[in-house]
Amino acid sequence: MYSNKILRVLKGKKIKVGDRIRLIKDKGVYEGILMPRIKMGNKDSLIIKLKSGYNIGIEFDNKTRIERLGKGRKLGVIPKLKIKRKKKLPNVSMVATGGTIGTHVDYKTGGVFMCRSPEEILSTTPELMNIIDLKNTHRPFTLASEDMTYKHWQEMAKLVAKELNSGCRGVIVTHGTDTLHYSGAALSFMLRNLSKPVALVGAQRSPDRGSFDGSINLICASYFTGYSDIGEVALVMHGTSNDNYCLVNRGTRVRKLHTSRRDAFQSVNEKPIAKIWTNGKIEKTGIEYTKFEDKKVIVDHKFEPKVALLKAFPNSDPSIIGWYLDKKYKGLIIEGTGLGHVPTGESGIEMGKFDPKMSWIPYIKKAIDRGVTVVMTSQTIFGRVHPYVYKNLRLVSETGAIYAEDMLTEVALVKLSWVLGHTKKKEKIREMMLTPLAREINPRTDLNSVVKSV
Amino acid sequence: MDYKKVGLRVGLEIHHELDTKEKLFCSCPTLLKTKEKPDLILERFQRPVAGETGEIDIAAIEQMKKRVKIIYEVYDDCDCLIDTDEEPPHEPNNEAIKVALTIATLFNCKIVDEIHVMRKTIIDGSLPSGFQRTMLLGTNGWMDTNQGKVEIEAVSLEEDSARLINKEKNSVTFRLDRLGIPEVEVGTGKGIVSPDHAKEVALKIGNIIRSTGKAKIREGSVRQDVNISIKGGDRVEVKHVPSLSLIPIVIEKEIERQLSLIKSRGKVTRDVRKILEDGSTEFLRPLPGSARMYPETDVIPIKTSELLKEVKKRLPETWDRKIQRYNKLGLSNELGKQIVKSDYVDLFETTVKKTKIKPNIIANVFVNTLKNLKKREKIPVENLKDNDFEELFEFLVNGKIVKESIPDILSYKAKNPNMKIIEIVKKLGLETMAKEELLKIVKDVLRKNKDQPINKTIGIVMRRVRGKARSEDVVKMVKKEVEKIY
Repeated sequence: MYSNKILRVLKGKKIKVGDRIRLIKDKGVYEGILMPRIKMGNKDSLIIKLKSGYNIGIEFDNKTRIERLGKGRKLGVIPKLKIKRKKKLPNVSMVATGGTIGTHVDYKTGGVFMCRSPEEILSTTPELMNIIDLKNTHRPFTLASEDMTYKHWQEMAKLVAKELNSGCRGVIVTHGTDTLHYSGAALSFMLRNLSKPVALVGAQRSPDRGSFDGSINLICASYFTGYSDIGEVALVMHGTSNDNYCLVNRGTRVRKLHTSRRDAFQSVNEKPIAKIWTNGKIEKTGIEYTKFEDKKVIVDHKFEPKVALLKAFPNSDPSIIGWYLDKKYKGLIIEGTGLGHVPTGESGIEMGKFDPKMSWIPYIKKAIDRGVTVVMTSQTIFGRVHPYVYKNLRLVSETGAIYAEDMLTEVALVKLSWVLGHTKKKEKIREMMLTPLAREINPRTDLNSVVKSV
Repeated sequence: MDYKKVGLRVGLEIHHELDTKEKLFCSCPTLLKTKEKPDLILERFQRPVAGETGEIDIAAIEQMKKRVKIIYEVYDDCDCLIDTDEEPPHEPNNEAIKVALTIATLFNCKIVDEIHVMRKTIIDGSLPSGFQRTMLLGTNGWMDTNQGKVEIEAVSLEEDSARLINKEKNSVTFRLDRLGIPEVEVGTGKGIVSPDHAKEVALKIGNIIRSTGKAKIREGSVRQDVNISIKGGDRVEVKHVPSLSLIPIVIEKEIERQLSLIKSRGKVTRDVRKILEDGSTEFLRPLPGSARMYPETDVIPIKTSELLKEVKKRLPETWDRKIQRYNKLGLSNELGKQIVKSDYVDLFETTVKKTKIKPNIIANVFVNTLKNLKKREKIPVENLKDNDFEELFEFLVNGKIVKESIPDILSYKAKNPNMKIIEIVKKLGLETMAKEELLKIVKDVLRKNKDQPINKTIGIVMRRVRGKARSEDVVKMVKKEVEKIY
């Protein structure tokens, strides 16, 4: 928004954003379209789009003269794909929830708009119409993924189930990438008895550019949902920095491991289920998966949102646990160091420097005594936690904390919330947490369970 | 030809790479290919982006099936994730912005108050992102020429694109080393009156850019596009005219082409044309409408007021001014031009200030002596350091050596960089001869060559004292001794 000073002048001259104007300042003459003021920068600078296409900012002062030349063109048209159905192709539905993959840049203003419909998203990748028959499209909400909550997960689960149970072969969910893996885990737990492919798809580059990566992700997701014999929730995203294939990463075994690369999503502690090439070739990696079957899926989205994620680190103050107890939290995931450690002060011979108040043990005990479930995972990301290898581990496990095997922290967080939505019984909670419900735990750790080599 | 009568209009766009430490939007150095094989090969595709009209046609889908594979050669010493389109741009390079502001100021431009970085859509693969980041810094400028003022419409700063290495039916290969190097673009407006004038303007623009000392000088660091139209014709853009001397030829040929088209068909189409070796052109593609440009939202607008204050404090002397000043020091126009263009211009300035040697002699050493040593004798003159020259000129001032000995000393020094100048002078026996010694030789020569003409005698003496006595001293002494005899 422009400053009040400018707004007054514009109002006086009956100039609106989008109008053609002439600006004269200090012998410089500038003609072009008055653009909306972007949030960053100087509010006293008028932004003008010159005929050459360049935007420039000219600071408005007492010596600046401005006049209206006429009306500009209408701004902000988003292209739409008219969906042409090809009934012979496998039918797949789409749920669009927002994120980079659902944005559109208006080339005249440069404004970034959220797409208002899946048709608008499809306009970026019209090839999809030759791969699948897009049966239904939904847009329950439009969000950046960091604003996603469990209520959104519940709604997504309902919509996906509705589509699958009304004859769809698969569903594509478009979504922001930041929390794509949380949603992947949530859908994996909420969709019981799932035996059809559900693809979660995002983009790391925006659709305004020729290098938009979302198209290839959508194309591969279409082959996954329309043609594969896999019946699971998976994140279908670029496998490398090349535009050649996507990986089908199981919804409970994947994590965003890079802020910006196309191949940010990697399966952790196991291989992805398959590679899908842009020509439709599906190449399995050999790991077990749920086979496609035309069965009804059951939505079970009971959920306890009062579960928090804590991280243990050098000098960390465990009294934060007290705050969560006061707030009546029901579950805590503690992302420990290494095999699942927290500071205890009891590991060494020289005890002088460790303040006993900084030991996490009494706080964990207190939480468990109050009926709060405490689950240990590891901040190393890769690997499995262990309750006994070191004395400090034994001190934690003796409190009754649950060591979550090779489950990812984010998955453990979602799972505990889901489990606590179903039972309050201590032993039942432990049993459910340690039993694989959506292949989120594997007693055998894959030999290649490491960060990709450089 | 009466260019006014044919309604000739010429516009130049001069692109010049800047010699900054880092690229425009990342911290990679501005190197070109440093090793044989790329460290990484990437394969990508680019998509036509959704149309402005809001409609997508089926033809576009068909087109996408035929799309070419784009192969990128990536080098880890001069590329990072920003170059491969895997990371958002960092803040624009301040050094490059200051250089571009300097250039815009030298062209008398009005500087924008706020720079907005734009994305210019380009999907031929030369930019992995699918767009080129560019920013307009100055408008409404002008420059003086022999034929009056020429408008400078725009000075902008942009990231250079990747280098095209190979093109095949289904694939195209680009090398990412050059990608992202800052490049300034200067566009002229009205004022160019003839083909020869266009050449002068292009030359002057180049000189002004280079006078910042921050222009990259290497093959391919300058690109010149020429826009030409005549009355009844239409705008045609000739891309990448490789040399200044071709500019007038291209314009002449284009005028002829347009005239004959007007005669035969009544109109000219707006083309982008490719230049051929003889200055004629061939069709490349239709001239695009106004570039599709929209803001680069990953970079915030840059306020120019503070930067501009800094820039104005340190405006460089343009080459034209410098040459005028050197004229006053006694250098010819030609020698002035040569020294300004040479790598030794700064050293020349400091040496002139420090010593009493005639600027002409100093300039000749830096320009002609070094050029001869390098070109004719293949001497590695790049081994010579600033302080070698300082020492050398000190000996010359003190009369320890004569200027005739300089080529020999420099040549020896360049080949033996570890020896000191003084050692070389001694080793080569090039210390200035005492008057008495010279006299002895002169007398000896005269005695042995009694009936020779005086010039021949001088020649013989010179050969014997080569590099150890000043030639004017030899001439003077021979003449004096001859007079004594007769």
